[in-house]
Amino acid sequence: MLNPHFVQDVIDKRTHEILQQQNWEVIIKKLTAYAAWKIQTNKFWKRGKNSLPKGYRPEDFAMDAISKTLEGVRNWDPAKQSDLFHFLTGVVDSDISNLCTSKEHRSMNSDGLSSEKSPSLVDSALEQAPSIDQEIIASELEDMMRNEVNGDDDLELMLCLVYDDEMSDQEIAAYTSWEISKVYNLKKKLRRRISKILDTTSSYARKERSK
Amino acid sequence: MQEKKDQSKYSKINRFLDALGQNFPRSESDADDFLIEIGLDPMRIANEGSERVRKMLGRQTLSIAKASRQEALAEMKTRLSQIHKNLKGTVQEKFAELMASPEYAAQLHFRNIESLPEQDKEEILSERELIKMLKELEDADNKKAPNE
Repeated sequence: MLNPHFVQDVIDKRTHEILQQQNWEVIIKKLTAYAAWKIQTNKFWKRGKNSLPKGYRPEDFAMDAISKTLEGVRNWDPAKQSDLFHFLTGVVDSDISNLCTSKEHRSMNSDGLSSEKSPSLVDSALEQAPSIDQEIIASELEDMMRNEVNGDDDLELMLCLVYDDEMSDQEIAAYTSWEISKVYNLKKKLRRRISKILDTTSSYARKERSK
Repeated sequence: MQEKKDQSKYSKINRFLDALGQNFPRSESDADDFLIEIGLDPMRIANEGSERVRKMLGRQTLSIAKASRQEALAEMKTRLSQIHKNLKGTVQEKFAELMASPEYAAQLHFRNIESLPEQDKEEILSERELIKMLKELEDADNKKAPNE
């Protein structure tokens, strides 16, 4: 748990009833997947896959967001925001972001162990976006991404449209005349490929940081 | 006017990763596939997580029920206290009015008390006793909360 909640707030009866009606198994899996992707991408790709402090796992972020909501620590108002999953992803985003900027996390080494040492020069450089080091790592990642899709015409085009041209799903569908479902599927395929190479890039980043 | 985007590779890649994560995961199977790929067991995560959620919801149900009960009790207490005050005031007022009324005083004055039937005597005594008791109660209340 990121923050233990000793005082349980009482949420209103109607909200509680709505929360009871949710399909929690699905929400938990989706939120864990979301947290895992966020951890891979939200600046963690520079720090390494195993750099989450205190051994936090994606499911810990998901469950912490759910606990905060169920216990009324994070106030979900169904009348204002009907999409509970969307609300929960906001809590996960906030927690990951807070963790990225926390002193505790900044003082972690690449194995996730607390370090009393001052931040290395590379650490300091990484915190000033974008630095030369970040640009080098980003270039490496870009090359890896292009190599990863090389030979798959649809994915090459997807990468070009999403990365180079920064098109939205709807714009891609209109530009290519693809069905929107095809755009979603290709995006999913692309995300899986990128997810794999993010680990490699993390290793690269770790090497850079240990220099 | 469209905001000019940072064209550094670092920023571009971050925007690209955000775009890939937009509306992710779209479905349960989308989430399952991703979790399996990164080495997590979707079944275990769902089972362990929903067990925790079940307990949290249970605790929340108890808290809500407790809060409702306390609220109902507080309201009942207020109402009872109000009813008690009103009743006490009404009865006392009626008896005081009765005893102070000229008709009643005249009846007592000219009535031969000795010749009254026992039942009437008891009634008069009980009326007097009751008024006395109510007066005492009122005095005690006034002493307890002189500023109320």
